[in-house]
Amino acid sequence: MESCAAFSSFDTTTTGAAARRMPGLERLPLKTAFVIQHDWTEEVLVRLSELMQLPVGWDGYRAKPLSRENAVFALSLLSVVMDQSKPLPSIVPTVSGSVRIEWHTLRGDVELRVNRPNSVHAWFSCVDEEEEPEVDLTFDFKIVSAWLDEIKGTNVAIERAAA
Amino acid sequence: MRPPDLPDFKHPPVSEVVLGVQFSNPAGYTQIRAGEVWGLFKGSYPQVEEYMPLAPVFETFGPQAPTMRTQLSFVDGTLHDRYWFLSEERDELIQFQQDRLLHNWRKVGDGNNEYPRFEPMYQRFKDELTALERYLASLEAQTLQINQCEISYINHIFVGQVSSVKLSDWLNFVNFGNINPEGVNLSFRETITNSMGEPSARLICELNEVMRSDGDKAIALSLTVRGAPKTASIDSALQFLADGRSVIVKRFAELTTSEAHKIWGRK
Repeated sequence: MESCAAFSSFDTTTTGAAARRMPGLERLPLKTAFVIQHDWTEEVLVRLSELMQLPVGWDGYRAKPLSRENAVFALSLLSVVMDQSKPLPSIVPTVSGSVRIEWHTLRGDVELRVNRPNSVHAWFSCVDEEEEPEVDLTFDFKIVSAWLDEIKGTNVAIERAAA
Repeated sequence: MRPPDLPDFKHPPVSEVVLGVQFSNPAGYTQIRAGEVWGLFKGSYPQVEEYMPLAPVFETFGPQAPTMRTQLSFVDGTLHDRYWFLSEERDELIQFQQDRLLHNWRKVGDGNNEYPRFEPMYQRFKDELTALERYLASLEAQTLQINQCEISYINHIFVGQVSSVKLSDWLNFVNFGNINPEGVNLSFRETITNSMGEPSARLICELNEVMRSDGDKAIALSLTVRGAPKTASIDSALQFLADGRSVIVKRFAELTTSEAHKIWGRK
C-alpha cells in the first residue's frame, strides 16, 4: 500500500532529494553543501498525520492507525534529538498503532521502536564498532543523538567526488 | 505531611494550584459516558462546564531543547470535550477529559478565599484518581496508565499598577535597571535531575502580566513541574506530584527576594 511506504531518508548530498528541492543548490561546490539546512518538522508532521489517518486494517488484517498519543510522543522524541544537520528519519507504522523511527546511512543504522509513550526500544549499528547495542529508553534520548552523530559523518557526494 | 525543610509562608501569594495527570485512553470509555464520570464527583462539584480538550504533552530530554514550534498537536477527528466539574463556590474544580484528570484550586471573587494548602488538595486528588480508576475498571479490567504528571503554582506577586512596580524588589532574576517596561513576558525551563544526575522532570517558569478576576492587574509567576512518573500507577504519580511540589516551593523561595518573603510572612 503506497500510503504505508517508508518515509525515505533525507539525503544530505547535492545529488539527492535536497538538491532537487532547492533550486541553485546543485551548482554549489560539494564541500559547501555538506550540511543541508532543512526543516525536519514539516515533513515529519506530514508523515505522522498520514499515519494517523490510515484505515483500521491497513495491513489487510486488523492493524490500527497511529494513535494520537504515540504520534505526539514520537514528535516530542524527535524534537530533542533532531537538528538541521541530522538526516530525516524513515517513519514506519506498526500494526499496534505506533511507529518505528529509522535512520540508515552508509556509516550505520539507528532504529527506534516506539511501543507507547515512555517506552522505546533502541538499536544502533555502526561500521566502526563491532557491538550493536540495544537499549530500552523512556524519555531521555541523549544516546540517540550521539548515535546519529556517529552515523551522519560520511557524505555520499564527497565520497563519490574523491573516488 | 509537609517536609520540614520546605520554605513556608503565612500568606503565600499563590493564586492557583493545579495537580494533574495524563493517561492512555482507557479501554471501553466513550464520550457518552462523561455523565457517569461526573456522577463520581457531583456531590462536591455540582456545576459543569465544557471546554476544548488539552492536547497531549510529553516531556522528553536530549541535546536539543524542545521548542514551542515542535509542540504541535494533531487532530484525528475523535477529540473529546474537556469538562470542568466545579464546587458551589467555584474555587475548586476537577478537569476531566478522555486522557486527563486535573484538580484546581484558585482564588475567586475578592480573592479572600484561603489556599487550603497542598496536603488536603493532594489527598482529595488521590481520592478522585482512585474513584476514576475504580470506575474505569468497571468498564473493562484495567488500571490507569499514567504517562505524565503535572503540578503548577501560579503566584500573583504584585497587584495594582504594574508599571510603577520595581520587579527586582520582588524577584531575584529580573532587574531592568532604569528601564520601565510596558509589559513583561519571560519564561525559562530547567531540567530536574535525580540522584544519579539523570533527567526526571522539567521545571517551566513563566512570568507575565495578567488581569485578575477583580479587574486589577498583577504580575503572575507560574512554576510548573511536568514529567513521567516512575511507573504508570497512581502511587507513582502521587509521588511525582509530591516531589514536584518540593521543587517548586524551593525554587519559588530562591527566585524571590528576602524583602518579599517578609511581606509574605516567611516562617
